[in-house]
Amino acid sequence: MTDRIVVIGHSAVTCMGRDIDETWNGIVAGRSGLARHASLDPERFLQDIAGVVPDLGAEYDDDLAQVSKLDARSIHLAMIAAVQAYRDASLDRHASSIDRDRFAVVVGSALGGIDLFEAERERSAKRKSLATSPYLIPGLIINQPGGQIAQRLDLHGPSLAPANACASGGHAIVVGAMMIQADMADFALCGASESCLTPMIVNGFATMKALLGRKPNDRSYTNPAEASRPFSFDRAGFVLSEGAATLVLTKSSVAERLEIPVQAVLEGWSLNTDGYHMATPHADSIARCLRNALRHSRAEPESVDYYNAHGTSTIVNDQTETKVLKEVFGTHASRLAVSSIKGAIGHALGAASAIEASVCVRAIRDQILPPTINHVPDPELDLDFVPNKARSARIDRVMSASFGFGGVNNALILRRSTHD
Amino acid sequence: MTEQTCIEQVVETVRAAAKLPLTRVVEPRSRLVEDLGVDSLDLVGVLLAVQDRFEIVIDDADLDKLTTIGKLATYVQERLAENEPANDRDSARVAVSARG
Repeated sequence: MTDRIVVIGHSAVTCMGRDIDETWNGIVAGRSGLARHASLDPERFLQDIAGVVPDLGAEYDDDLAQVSKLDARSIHLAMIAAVQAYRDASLDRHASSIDRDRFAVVVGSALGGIDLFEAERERSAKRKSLATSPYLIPGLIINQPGGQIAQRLDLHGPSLAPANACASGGHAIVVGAMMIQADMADFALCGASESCLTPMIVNGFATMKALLGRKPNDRSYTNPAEASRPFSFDRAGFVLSEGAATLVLTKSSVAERLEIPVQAVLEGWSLNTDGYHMATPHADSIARCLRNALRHSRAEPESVDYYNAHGTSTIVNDQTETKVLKEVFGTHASRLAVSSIKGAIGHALGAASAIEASVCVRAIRDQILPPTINHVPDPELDLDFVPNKARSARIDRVMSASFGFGGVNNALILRRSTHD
Repeated sequence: MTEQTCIEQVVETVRAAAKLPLTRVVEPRSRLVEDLGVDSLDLVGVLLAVQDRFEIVIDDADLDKLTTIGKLATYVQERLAENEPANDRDSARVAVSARG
């Protein structure tokens, strides 16, 4: 049998929960991790509803001792997610069987340590000298989470930090898989992390009208849990959140030799670029990306049981994505289950597609379709968005797609490991 | 600020900036690098935290002299004394000179 790229570990740290169990259970229960936060002071922020991971720091988590001086939350989130996925893959029990020079680390982010940058800039403004923290540059750079993970887990293969906006996590997973296929690594720990709830970033997205702003007449004003509502009639922008997620990949032959259970097969993927606009998605290009992933998997559109959507809750994305799905899946589009978990956990930018990949692994394992919560039908968007309630279903093949500013697109296809 | 208060605040600042474990004994004679294990990058962070805490500027030319908690506390008191209004300065000088 052909050697496949397989998932042997997965994790997620989100505003819904400190691990993939809490995250998945909350999503399936139809809960929201979004809330109004006093830290997002309306005097400084154009939106005070967000998805925040509570109690994050070395004082709450022993795994963060090494990174405690690097006060960028994306580094802390990435570390927690990486250690969880590594343990989920039972790799701590196979230490003697692993060539650590052949263990890749691919952890991306859209904005890296921008929170540290903004905090340090405020401190610098009050300082009598021009000195800045010596941890500013190490904490700001986007490859530092990967570097710290490598240090913590003693991994010395190739590392890379894809910075592909809201598609960073999916790109990282693809790059990790490609490193294994190119025989540069036996294992790849790949994913993304993001935390950028700063005035400049929140207000930047709000000013673009990409983010849901504060609106007294919006249903989120009285119930923040209803702020993010992908594919809904009254969707009005995304809600920013933070988080991280990691997949551990290897070849099926390695998993078999080490007797590590395969959680899903990463069957195919596609990356492409719109070359069209700085922020507006391009339907034709996205459609090509999805078709290329199907071709790479040698899968027919009709064989996809679930499509995990980018589904940001912006007017443009959800309209474009629905149009693309009808075009790519044809008559099967009306039977295809489509959902966006961003209704529940908001949009964690670069981390989003990694979190969504982890959730897809769970969907396949538990044979449950996660819902699109807060959904009110939009007559123009007439697909099965698994509205408001999770459903049991046969899920053998899943596609998850993400699209980012700068015109970057990815699509991953995950398959149930027993479906050969 | 008394000498004891200054030392206590310097210890607290260094502990937080260098993320020293609570079990680590920190006293005036503790050497930052040799005894407390502060590396070169952390040392910059520690001195910056002291500058921020006491709203003083540590001159680059003085860095090599600030090797212990005690020397750092003395330096802080001297800089604070320089920044105080003239009528408070004499009493601060007495406090500094009283330490020897």
